Amino acid sequence: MEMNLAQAIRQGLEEEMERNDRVIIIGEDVAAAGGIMGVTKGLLEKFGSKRVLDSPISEIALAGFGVGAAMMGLRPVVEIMYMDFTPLALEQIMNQGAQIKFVSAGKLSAPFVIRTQYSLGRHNGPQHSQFFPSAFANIVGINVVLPSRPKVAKGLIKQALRDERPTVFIEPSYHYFDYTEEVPDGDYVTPFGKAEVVREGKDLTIVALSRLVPEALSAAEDLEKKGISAEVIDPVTARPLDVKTIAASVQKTGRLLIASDEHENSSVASEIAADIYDLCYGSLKKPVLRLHPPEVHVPTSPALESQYMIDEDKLLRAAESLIR
Amino acid sequence: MEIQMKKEDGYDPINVPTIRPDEYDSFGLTRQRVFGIYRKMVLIRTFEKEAEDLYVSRGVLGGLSHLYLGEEAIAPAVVEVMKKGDMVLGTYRGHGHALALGVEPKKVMAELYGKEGGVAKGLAGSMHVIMDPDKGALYSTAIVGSHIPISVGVAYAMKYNGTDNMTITFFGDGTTNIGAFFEGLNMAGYLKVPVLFVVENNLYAEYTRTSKVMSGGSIEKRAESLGIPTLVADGNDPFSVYRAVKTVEADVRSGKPMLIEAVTYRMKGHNPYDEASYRPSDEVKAWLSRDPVDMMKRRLLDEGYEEDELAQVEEWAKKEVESAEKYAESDGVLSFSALYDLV
Repeated sequence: MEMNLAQAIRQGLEEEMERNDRVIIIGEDVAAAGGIMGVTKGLLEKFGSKRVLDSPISEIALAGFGVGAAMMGLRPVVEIMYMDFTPLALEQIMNQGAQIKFVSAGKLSAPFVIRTQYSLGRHNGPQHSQFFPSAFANIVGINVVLPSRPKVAKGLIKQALRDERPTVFIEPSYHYFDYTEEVPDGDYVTPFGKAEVVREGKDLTIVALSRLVPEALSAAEDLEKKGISAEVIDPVTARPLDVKTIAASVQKTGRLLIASDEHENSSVASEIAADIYDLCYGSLKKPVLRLHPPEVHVPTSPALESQYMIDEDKLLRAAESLIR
Repeated sequence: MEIQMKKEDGYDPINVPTIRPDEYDSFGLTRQRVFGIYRKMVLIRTFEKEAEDLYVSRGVLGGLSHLYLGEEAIAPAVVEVMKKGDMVLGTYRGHGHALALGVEPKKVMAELYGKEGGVAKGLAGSMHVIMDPDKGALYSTAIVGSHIPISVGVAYAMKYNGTDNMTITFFGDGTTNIGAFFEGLNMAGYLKVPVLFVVENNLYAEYTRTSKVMSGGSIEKRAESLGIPTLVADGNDPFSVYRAVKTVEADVRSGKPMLIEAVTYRMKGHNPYDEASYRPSDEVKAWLSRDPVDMMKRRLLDEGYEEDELAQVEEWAKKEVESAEKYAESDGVLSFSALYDLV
């Protein structure tokens, strides 16, 4: 069925809740309101208030609740409304959830899922737009998942609800409704740690994170018209990070552009670049090029925000600079 | 109690009396159970004295540790109400809770030594010894207050499973100033989960008198304002603590979270290396005269126990701790490669 990102994630959640009565959802506005952007709409009606719970605006308690319920065998999906709010829950994620298996020497685990979204492009300003997956990707013991498109997103949320580690699931709300594709009916999971070659090409490799995967696909089509064949890779998970798939591509193309809505310093893109220098040093025809927003905070003004953001045009120019 | 209560002392007026011997029946206490509580108190005292020696005088152990000396009346009394499936979460000051729950002393000691036979194979250390779920010792964290919301999730799972189990969450007075306390109690209250919060109020948050850095000055008022009814027990009297827990147990199990403030005092500093010179000597002296283990011993003598009988408990505890120490000394260290399977 053709659907958008929000629908695909909802379908994944719904199917997992049907499949496993240990799955519960808790978060601000997720139950009665169905989520501020409607991702969890209808789940309260279908599964009841024991399994779909509204919470107070308490990110520490939300994440802690997820850790504790997961320790006891539930499969909690904790929604943190904006990624900008996740630092409030960071202590629970990094000291508790991520470490529980370690500090209990394997007696306990806390496989809960934090669902969050970043709102860049929706004019929500510097504290409701940020994307900083590397803050989580640096933490041993968790998964950091970047669902970019409907089909992969459904499989990823299902995998998150079956995985043994805590998962931070970061959705690009920019594409909740505008990008649709065919999503298979029924059960499938998308494995973590396996990058997806979304489009094959031979002249350069574009690794795009999250929101930028659909943009990179459009840019690749424009490049094709100019006689440049771009391979587009979606890393899918920032931890575990599948560098091998990217390296295999770069060994073929010799050129790598990494595009990400993160700031450049200490980003997931930095990690990919470092890994590629390690693995593909002899194959690179040009230095790895990283495309990031400028080193300023996200401006609210739509006119300024669009200048801040990476778009198809910026991607095109960056790609062409690697070819020339 | 003999301590003169002043507002600035930083605890709420104790409102749960002791249990007199003629009341044992009505609280389900038998001589055997009372004696069991005493044995645990002595075991904890003996273990902690030895731990202090190992950390400070002998320097055998290093790193952070937080001893339960002076607070031995609380955990043994609280866990006495537990049923199978009930779970305890606690803090970095957790040796006493683990031992009260029946975690083997050798496993606690080996954890202090960083050895493979420890409750967490030596990976987590002194601050995480409440880590033996089969014994109801579910989890402990070294971050102040983080286990409060975790315990709400644990209690929610108990409710979700339709059991009448409860979660017991221990923490200190300093913890009542951290955000997780407020968020966690609020969430427990509105979700109506079976959790009992037990505040071991030893009047000091690390090196600072809690009342000096606490606006409003009352743990009870804070909890009540979040919809969590509170009882204040004498934390140096296991009978007061037990009465409090027994009083609220049925309500907690039915999904009405409660808090017990057990007023107590650390015999020593925040950690074994801290000489606690920030505490006025007359205050220390007054509290040491209320040593919970001594008071319990005197009470048992009054109740007709023989000196010999009680001396045997001390002997038994000494042997337990000696054998735990021997075990820990001779135990091996986990191979580093095993760590990769634990992340």
